[in-house]
Amino acid sequence: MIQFILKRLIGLLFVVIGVTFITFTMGYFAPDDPIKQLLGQHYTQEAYLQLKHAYHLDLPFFQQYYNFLTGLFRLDFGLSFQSKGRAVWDILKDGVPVSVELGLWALVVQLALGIPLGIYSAIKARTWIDTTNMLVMLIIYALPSFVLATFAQIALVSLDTSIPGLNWPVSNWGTPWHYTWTDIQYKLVPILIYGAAGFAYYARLARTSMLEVLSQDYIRTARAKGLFEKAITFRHAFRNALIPLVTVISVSLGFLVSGAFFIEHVFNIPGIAETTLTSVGASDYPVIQATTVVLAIAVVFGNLLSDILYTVVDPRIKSE
Amino acid sequence: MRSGKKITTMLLPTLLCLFGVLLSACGGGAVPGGAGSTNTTKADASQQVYRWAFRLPDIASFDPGISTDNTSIQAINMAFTGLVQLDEQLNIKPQLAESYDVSDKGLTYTFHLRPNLKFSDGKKLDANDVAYTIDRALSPEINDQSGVALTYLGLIKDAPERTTGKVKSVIGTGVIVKDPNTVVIKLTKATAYFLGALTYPTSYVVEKSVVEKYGNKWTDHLADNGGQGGDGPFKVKEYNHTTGIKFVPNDNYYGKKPQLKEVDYLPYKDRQTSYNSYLADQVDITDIPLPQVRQAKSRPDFNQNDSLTIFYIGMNYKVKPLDNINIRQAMALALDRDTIVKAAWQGAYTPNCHIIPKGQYGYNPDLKCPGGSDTHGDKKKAVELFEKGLQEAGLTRQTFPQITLTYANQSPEAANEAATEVQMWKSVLGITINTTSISQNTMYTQQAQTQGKDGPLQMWLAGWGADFPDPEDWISLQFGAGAPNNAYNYGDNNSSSVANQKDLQKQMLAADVMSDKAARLKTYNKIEQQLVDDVAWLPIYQRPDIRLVKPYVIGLKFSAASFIPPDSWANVYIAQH
Repeated sequence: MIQFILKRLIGLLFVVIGVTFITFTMGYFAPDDPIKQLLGQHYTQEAYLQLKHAYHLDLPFFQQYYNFLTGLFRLDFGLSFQSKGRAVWDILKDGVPVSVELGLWALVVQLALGIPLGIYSAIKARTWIDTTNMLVMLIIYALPSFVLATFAQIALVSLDTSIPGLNWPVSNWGTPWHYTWTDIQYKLVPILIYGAAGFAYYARLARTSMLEVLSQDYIRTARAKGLFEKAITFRHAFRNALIPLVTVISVSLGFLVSGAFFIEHVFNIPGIAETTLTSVGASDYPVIQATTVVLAIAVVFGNLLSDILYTVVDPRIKSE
Repeated sequence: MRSGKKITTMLLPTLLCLFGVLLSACGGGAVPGGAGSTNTTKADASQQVYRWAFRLPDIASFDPGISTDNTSIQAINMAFTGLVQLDEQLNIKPQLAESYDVSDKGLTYTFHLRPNLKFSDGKKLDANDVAYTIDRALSPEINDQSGVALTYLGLIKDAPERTTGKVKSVIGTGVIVKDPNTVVIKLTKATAYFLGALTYPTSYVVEKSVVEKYGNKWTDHLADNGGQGGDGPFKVKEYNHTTGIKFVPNDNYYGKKPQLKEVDYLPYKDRQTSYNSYLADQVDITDIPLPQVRQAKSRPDFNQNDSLTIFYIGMNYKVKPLDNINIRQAMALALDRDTIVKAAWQGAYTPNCHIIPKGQYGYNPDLKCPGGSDTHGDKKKAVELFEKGLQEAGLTRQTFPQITLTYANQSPEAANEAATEVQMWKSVLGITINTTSISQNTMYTQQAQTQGKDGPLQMWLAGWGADFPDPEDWISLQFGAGAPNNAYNYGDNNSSSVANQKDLQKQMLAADVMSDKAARLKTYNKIEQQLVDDVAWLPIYQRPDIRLVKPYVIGLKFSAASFIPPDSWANVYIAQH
């Protein structure tokens, strides 16, 4: 197992280098120019050349890439153009924990609600319960998160704040990883909204996966043996139905952190997802590169985790 | 059946919640968080907290030497001050300086500092700190982070050489410390706008020991030692890049002390979220999203001031037939600015023909739109002038060349504006103007490239925000001979009126250095009217700052530059509510 993890970690290194090369090349050849963005209405050719030199953007491509790569190993992603002169590492350090917190709690909501609902639907397949459940899940899944988030926020604004208990914050995040009542008030709605789209997806996926397993021969054999339905469902079917779910969950881990753009935007949450997108608009390449690398690492770790989880869920799968 | 009941009970709350959310969100009714309180009795000390929402995830920089955006400057204005600053009416007033003298035919400024000045940490502030600050702002290390030091301090002797590193310091040459209370600034050119440029934060005094101790990250340590680094009415209690800035009064401030006990400067990424948070009483002031402006204007807590920002259409004099004055005027008169603002900008902005904006020195209330019209234009006259222009240019509507209007693609409203204008030209003048969109960055580049050439830009939508409230920033900097923003090629073209344009450029140079304020105003007004008649710019609207402010925030008054002068904070307090 250790050997397997080590191999994967070495693989990770190459993936990250590959990702940096692609992101860097795209940034280098992109038509927009961060120095022009920086100068704005004060653009002159002289000022432009002076700043380009100051930011070492006049160096040849490979030298710039070499500088970027060596900086990366020192956790030095350079300086942001948009947040004038602020180290990109500082921006990540502030934003990533918040996005991870939001993403993880949303995942908990998604799994805790989605999988039981999906499995229940599978057990009750082709009954009115299953149909209603799946229809509702489809509606929730189809509703974009920004629509849900906006409606939820307007609903909160409409609450009569003079009534005790209804004075509920409509924006911001509270203290990261702290859970006083005030913090919970800030965090609950964004987490539920972010969880909503995902839980409907997991419910549908769990149902399909469970249905497939329930139609297998060994389940029929178990039933023929006279086993209780509960034992069949949970001991025999559930574990096998988890395999495709594990794949999806692990891969989505990386995106969970960076995918909360709308939620972070609408609820004014100081995470990294929105920073990534605003930096694209501002041609802030150091930030774009850094967040892409973080995302790549998260996705690779997600994959690694899914491989490990496979062996736990199904001992027949060997990590080697 | 039992399990059926269970699933229903599981689903029901979810469904109910969802429908509840949707229903309440769709419902109209009374607007929460509305005004109503007119009580001006001061609330308890514990309530003297002003929660100020700004629309950005973080300020771009807290360093006065680097910052160029309004959001950062608003924060800087709380904790730093300069030799001279603008009051609420945008008059230049001594600030750190008690007085100043101008000598040597306007080439030498001597500033006499107030006695016993201190930074917020109690350390002494004197002329050496002023000199250090100006030299630091011009240094390549600082200037290279924004590239604008020369815009504000470029008149100082050796300043350009300092930004490139050719000279190691301007202290002793451009900035001379005569004694701890007197600092002398030597200029290379006498102008009337140097003090205006000095009101910009680039030269606001920073504490050398703090800057040197923490290097590039010094602004992250402004809250250390009980608040340090600046000398403004407030000091920093807490600065977090994600949750904002907390200011508390600076006991060592030399002016009138604020009544507020705390100002929370809170970042909001989205205008709508900030607006909703205001309605939910989470903040005391908010921007208004464009779609909400019409509704918000009828609220008693609606607040607006003229902002020194004008949006216009640029027309390249080197592009035929845009060099013909009758065609230029016809195109201006064909536009109904009021309709454009309503159609594209929700009526939020002010239709305008002026080049120098309302709210600052130099504004001319008697200015007439091209051809003596008003902001609605004049369709009949437009057609007459257009026919005349076509004849002079030897053209017909059929042979009218392909002209392209370029706009920056950063907002759907700009696209609407361009479409509305093109439609007006089509319906009034019978010509088709093409449109194309480019990024804002490319727009800046192409504007610079268009100078002296007939392209890439022919006509384009652009805006200008004042660097400092002096007419020079709107007139000479835009239309002067060789001015960095003269992409319209005013005075550098083959039109029949180029001699008059060149003459006007000479008048601009003269106005820039006039010391008699009234005479200078008159001269600029005359120049501006001529520029408007020439359609040097085709101004469309002036953008005001619009916001909602809780009625219990008493005494809050923004200047037209959207700032609150340091001593005006003493008038602001929270009333009982």
